[in-house]
Amino acid sequence: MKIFRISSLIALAFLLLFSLIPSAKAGPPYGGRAIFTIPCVCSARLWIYFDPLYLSSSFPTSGALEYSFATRLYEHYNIGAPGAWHLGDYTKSSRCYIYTGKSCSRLPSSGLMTKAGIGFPL
Amino acid sequence: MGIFDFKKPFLFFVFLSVFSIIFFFYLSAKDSFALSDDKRQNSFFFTKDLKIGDTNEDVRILQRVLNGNPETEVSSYGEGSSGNETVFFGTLTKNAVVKFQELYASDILRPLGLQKGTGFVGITTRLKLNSLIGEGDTKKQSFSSGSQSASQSANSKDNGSTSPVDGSSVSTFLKSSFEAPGVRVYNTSEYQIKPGAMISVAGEGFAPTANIIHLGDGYVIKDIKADGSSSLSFIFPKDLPIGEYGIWVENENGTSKNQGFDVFFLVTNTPVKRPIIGRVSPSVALLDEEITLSGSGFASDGNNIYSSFGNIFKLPSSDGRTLKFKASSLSEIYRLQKVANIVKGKNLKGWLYVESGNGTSKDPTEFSIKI
Repeated sequence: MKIFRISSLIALAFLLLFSLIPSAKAGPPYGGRAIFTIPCVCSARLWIYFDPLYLSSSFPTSGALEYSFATRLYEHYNIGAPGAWHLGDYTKSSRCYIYTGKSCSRLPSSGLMTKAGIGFPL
Repeated sequence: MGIFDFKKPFLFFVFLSVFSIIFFFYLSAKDSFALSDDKRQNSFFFTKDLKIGDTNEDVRILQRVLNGNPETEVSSYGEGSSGNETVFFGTLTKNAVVKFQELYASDILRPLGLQKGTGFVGITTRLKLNSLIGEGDTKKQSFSSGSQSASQSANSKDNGSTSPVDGSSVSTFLKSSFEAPGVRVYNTSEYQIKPGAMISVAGEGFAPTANIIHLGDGYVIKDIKADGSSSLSFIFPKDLPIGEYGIWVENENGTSKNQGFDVFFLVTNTPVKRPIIGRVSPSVALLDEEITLSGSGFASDGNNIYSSFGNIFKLPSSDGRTLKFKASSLSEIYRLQKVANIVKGKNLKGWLYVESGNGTSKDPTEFSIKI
């Protein structure tokens, strides 16, 4: 009976551990409808303006999130397409730099999308 | 009872272990589904900068794209002509790239503040090339290079726009940027600098030690420690002649020289402060309403506005303290007009910078417009 309990505990520990690994990567959720995009020429990201924009623990607003090559893209892939609803996770790591003549300047945003599932544009 | 006879502890352990392993692989695979879907979009992208003298297969693909449009064809006969593309980036290819850049100036040159084509295939040119490939928009020509082929992307049919920053072409832009240099320089703490002054450089990919800073083509400062991976400071050489210089950083991660854009600073004995924007009025402007920026350090003419709604160049300021423009004059405002049915009546928040001969305003200034 002792072996039974120990093996059960070990197996359950594995199960719990593996379940937690993917969720540990996820950031807070967001959702919103893309309006327009600006390429962050200097920092290889894309600045996407949403209206409305739903961020976790807040009421609907409008604002921007960034998309990078590291963002995991889900169907229907139309990232930033005007009118398309987006849903996913984001982190508060913002780094969009546009070229301003002699150097690059930061365009503010709420963060970087880590995952993005996208509907069809209007 | 078979395998579910949990009175046998060993069998129960085996069952749970196998279940755990299957569950683990399911979770891992679930995350990779998106990647494999993403991978199926386009199989060829311009990921490297191209310039005169280069010899590689990317040049052949470039020539094919250019030859897809009579306005940008490399040559009408012989080497470089349609069907006779080569791997050599020579003068003919450079001239065709210039035509291509000027044809799509709003997408390629304007974001970099350039008026004329350069012939250098950098980040914005690659973005446009990739978007055309992704949309199959070069006279519906197909491109292939050995085992690689560029076909219409899986989702491009969902998006009729030819804008490089709409829909599927966004992915191509980011893919095209993926192999960009590991070191980037964004800006310097001041644009106008006195010899011997301390200066900070903002960027990314800086090494903890042994960063090499290049000032123009002739001056090198070695062994600079970084304040983190995104900032480094150093004392400016006192013997640097007066004039404007480009700056780039080199270290174990690579060099920012090929980052596709240049960062400049001006060495002068009488530095002038960069423009400052104090106030924007009205707080929410209609498209044809005049927006006034109040501040200081504006030039009498040649002020450029860079914003999240696009740019305006060569704005005058009669008193050096005010700048006036209409939102409808911003270069990318047409993107909003395309979605007027969605945004009509809403306050849309934007940010802007002013660049005069004295540098660029330091912080983004918020303003709002209403369609």
